[in-house]
Amino acid sequence: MVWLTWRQHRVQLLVAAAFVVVVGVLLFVHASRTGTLVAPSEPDSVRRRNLLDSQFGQVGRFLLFSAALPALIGLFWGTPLLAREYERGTHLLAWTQSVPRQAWLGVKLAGLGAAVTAAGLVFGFAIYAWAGEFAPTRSAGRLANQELFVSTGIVPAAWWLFAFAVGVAAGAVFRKLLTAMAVTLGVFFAVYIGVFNTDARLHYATPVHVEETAPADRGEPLLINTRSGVEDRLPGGALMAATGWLDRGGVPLSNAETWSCASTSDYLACMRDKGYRWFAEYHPADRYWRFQLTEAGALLVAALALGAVAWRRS
Amino acid sequence: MNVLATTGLGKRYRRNWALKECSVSVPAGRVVALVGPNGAGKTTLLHMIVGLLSPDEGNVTVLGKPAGTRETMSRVAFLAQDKPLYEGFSVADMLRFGAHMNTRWDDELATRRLAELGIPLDRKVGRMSGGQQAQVALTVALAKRPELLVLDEPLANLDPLARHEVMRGLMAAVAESGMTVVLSSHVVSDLEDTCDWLVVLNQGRVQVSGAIEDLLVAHRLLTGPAELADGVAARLSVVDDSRTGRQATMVVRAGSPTLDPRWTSRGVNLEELVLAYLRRPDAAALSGPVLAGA
Repeated sequence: MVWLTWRQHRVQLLVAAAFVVVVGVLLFVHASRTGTLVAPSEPDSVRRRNLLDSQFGQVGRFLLFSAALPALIGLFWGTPLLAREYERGTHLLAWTQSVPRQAWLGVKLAGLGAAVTAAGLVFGFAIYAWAGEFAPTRSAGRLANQELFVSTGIVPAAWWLFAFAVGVAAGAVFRKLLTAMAVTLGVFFAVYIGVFNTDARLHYATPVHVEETAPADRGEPLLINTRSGVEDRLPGGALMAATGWLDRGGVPLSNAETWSCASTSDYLACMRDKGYRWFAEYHPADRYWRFQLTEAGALLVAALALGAVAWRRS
Repeated sequence: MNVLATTGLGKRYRRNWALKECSVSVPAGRVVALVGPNGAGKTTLLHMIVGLLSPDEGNVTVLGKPAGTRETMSRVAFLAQDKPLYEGFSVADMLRFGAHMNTRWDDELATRRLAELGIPLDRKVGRMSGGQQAQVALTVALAKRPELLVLDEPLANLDPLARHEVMRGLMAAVAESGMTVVLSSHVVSDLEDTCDWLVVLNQGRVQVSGAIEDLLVAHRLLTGPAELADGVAARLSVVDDSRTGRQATMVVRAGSPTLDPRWTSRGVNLEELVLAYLRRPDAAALSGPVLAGA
């Protein structure tokens, strides 16, 4: 069975292995070049930060495309596993040998699932280590930067495994390769984009809540409702959940109340006089691993459920 | 001993019964022709014998054990319709597949057979002719050294020469190993020379099951004047009765009936026998082990 799994899926296995190795080497080279370019002995300066930021951006702009990787895993590892067998009738051949169907499916799911997870872990930790080189810059915050959060640590492996399971289950249910591929793409991106668009990650834990009266000094610290302004006032690398104003009773202001001082010359003084307090909710950077475990755990449960669907339908 | 026995077997797809109350027994060493029109339930029955489907009613016993278990399937080989193979595999890969997936795999038999057929081991399966693919698929099945070989429409989609070659290869293997074979077809002429047991399946029910030799002896084709036909029909067990104008042609179940001299009586061939039953879905001839087992 192990031989058959390797023989049928060796192209996917080799391509994925080559990909993570190449990514790992490129990131290593890039990180060491950045290390020599931006001397670590150099004090934390604007020049140093800008240099790191631009170095980060060279690779960081590609992070967006890391979403395509689990999609490709789902399409080329997941869907063919059952759909191609059904489409060509080879399941009738495979399941009438001396190896029972359960063993056939079990070895394939476990073997390929483990391979996907391993490849995802190598990928995730390569980016994790690389991003560590840029630690002082805001964009390199592994928790605050959501693209980095899904590309580092154990979360990529969880998404890869989840997409694989979506593909296998779609193949088991629809039994046509093309249909299963279309469904896999649709389901995967619906979930993946859904997690981003609903800000689901902000709810993985109760955020830290801070409050202060509006600062007395006008122009100090900033424009309150812009995230970048606020983030400077919070611990480095924090993930913002919410900011805004509270009235005396601690109830968030309505829109009308928030804008009630807009026409005055000193917005902050006006808000302070009314007794309003500014608040922020955020997740500190050290929650990174907790959030990683939460997301990976949820995806693992989903992957197992999809695996059970494939098991029952085949 | 019966190599294959089904009792009250039934399989339902949604609300339609593809197979109903199917009871068949096949003694060891027989070459069984499973015959019936398209949609009669042949594939459903074969898939239940090899454990690809589980019955909704009744049960299947193969080699004295429940169908489809690991132990049973190591002694049963199945060649599915369209003879599926992995297209990207070389012939050698298909043999490796067989070796890895089976405990009783006979690699020597497989390589010898392919060498005799002149099929190179390094050829990609997807690039071979239909006849060669059928031979490779049959080789993978035979090298399992099965005690029961099940073939679903093994001759479909083959040209006459390839049909002949495949059938000859199959019969040589049967003669050598003494295994039991069940093969389905909707073309009776393919099976006349090779099979010695007949099962006719029609509309999901078993109509005929028995040794072909016995069945042929037990049936006569009568031709005579139509006005006497009713009298004969009342006396004999008629399978099929077709009348054209003044002449009646009947297939009856009787050894050698005594008849008015105006009748001519002769033996039936396999095709006439099968057609007679298929035209009359209500008629049935279930002999020997079936009744004994029921």
